[in-house]
Amino acid sequence: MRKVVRRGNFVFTYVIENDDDPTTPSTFRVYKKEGDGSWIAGAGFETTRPGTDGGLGCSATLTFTEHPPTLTTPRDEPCRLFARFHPLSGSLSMPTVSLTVNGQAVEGEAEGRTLLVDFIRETLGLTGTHVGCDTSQCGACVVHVGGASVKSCTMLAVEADGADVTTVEGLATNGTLHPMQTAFHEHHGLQCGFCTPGMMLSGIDLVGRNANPSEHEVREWLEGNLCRCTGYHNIVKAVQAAAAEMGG
Amino acid sequence: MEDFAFHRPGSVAEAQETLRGTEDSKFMAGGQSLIPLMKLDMAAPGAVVSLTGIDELRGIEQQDGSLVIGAGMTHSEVAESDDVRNAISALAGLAGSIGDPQVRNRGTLGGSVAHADPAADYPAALVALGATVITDRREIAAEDFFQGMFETPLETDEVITSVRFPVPDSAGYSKFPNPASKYAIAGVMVARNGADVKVAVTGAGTGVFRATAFEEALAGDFSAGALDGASVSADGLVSDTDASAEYRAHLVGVMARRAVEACG
Ligand SMILES: Cc1cc2nc3c(=O)[nH]c(=O)nc-3n(C[C@H](O)[C@H](O)[C@H](O)COP(=O)(O)OP(=O)(O)OC[C@H]3O[C@@H](n4cnc5c(N)ncnc54)[C@H](O)[C@@H]3O)c2cc1C
Ligand code: FES
Ligand code: FES
Repeated sequence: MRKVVRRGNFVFTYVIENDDDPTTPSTFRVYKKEGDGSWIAGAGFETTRPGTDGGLGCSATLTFTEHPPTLTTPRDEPCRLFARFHPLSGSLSMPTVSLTVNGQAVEGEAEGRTLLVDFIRETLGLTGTHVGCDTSQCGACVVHVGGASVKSCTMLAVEADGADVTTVEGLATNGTLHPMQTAFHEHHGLQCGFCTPGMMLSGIDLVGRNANPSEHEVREWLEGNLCRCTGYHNIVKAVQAAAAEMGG
Repeated sequence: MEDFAFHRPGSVAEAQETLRGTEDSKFMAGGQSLIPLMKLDMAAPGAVVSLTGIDELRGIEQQDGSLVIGAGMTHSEVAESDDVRNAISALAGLAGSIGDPQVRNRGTLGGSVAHADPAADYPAALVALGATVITDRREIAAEDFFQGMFETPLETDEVITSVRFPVPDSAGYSKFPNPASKYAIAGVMVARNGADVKVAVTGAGTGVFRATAFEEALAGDFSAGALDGASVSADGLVSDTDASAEYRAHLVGVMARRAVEACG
């Protein structure tokens, strides 16, 4: 199976100036700005403007074979253009990421570089997943992808295309807390709560693999989850209590 | 981070074709080394070609006295595999000591080997066990593969497909980890096959290396005590905020003794 995300047609709107007859098909190029500030006509950027849809503000679909395309034109060097148009007045259509989050099918646009955590927080508005470090250290961003805990700051949103994702918002069912949430509550496993979503999702992954973890095993497992408040003691107790509850 | 095109092909051949299609594109497996580098703009690929959708890179197989592990197997999968635990338990233990569970759930054998971080765990296992790195076009002995800090003979479009580990009589791994990242400040893998002993050190130098003085001492008497009086020189070892070269040299001795004891 081949999945290609982000390639192909980008639709943008352009405005042609000084064009003698805007209804005649004309070839134009999209120029690419080089590091030194000069402009080059990008190979693979050439396209033919459809002739029928009018001059000003017409739109075209360009197929880019090169990436990333820079949709900006050199206003100051008109002589090098077949047709002149304004710097980008439209926007690139971004690839769509479709996945299941907390049991619901969702879809949203993401750039290649969009991190899964940003997609979850900003595109989906699920802000229970936190960013503590953004450098793969703290575990505040832990979610489940395909049932395994991962650091969502160290995964691309496009990598989660087609995946099943669980965030802290998906733990409770119909208003009943997950046993891990109840255990954190009862054992006072949190103070400020910043690390808690990641701790709980990490803990649930552990219990899925090891139904009855020892204190040592819980501590080892929580290696990638940092807490600046509690001193971990009650977190470990909570995970062990939840394991007993989940197994029984 | 610069933006890039993202592709997830279904075969090695297609991955290579896609890679060749864009200048400066890069393969990505678990992304646990590459994404952090891209965040720092130390890597800015024009396209990222994900290897995670390729079945050919998966699987663990026993083959005439060897264990062949697919490059796409995650550290968690290797750590939890009964085949690996039964054949080379030290290797399963090593994989389970990498980073933290979330890093292990994404990071892969192939990614770790290709990245060749001087403080990574796997290189010590590959060298001590005399493993072979198998790519789409050739087989490379581990000792020829790791050429120093992040240096390997891999060509840009070359894909590691698996690693073949000969099953030893016994093997043990011990590391002194950086307390935050778990990367090795000094890590030692010892593998014994009859009288042949290999001792590989990671984390202490600018790349994995063999401690030949230890190997000679252990060849005659395979016991931790045989290492009394043997040492590695601090010359050329890494000095940084974690540990001085002298301290690393000391740690290599301690880790080697523990690794021998772990061989059982
Ligand atoms: C917080 C943290 C702690 C860590 N702790 C440790 C630790 O204790 N010990 C340790 O050893 N490592 C550690 N790591 C690194 C981790 O093991 C990475 O998973 C590993 O180094 C890279 O594997 P990956 O699959 O994520 O590769 P990626 O990051 O996807 O890729 C790394 C490089 O390998 C190339 N590549 C990937 N797969 C292939 C292939 N099949 N063929 C050819 N080239 C390929 C890529 O192009 C890239 O250049 C840690 C990482 C993090 C974030
Ligand atoms: S925000 Fe992801 S590990 Fe800290
Ligand atoms: S409760 Fe505050 S960081 Fe853990």
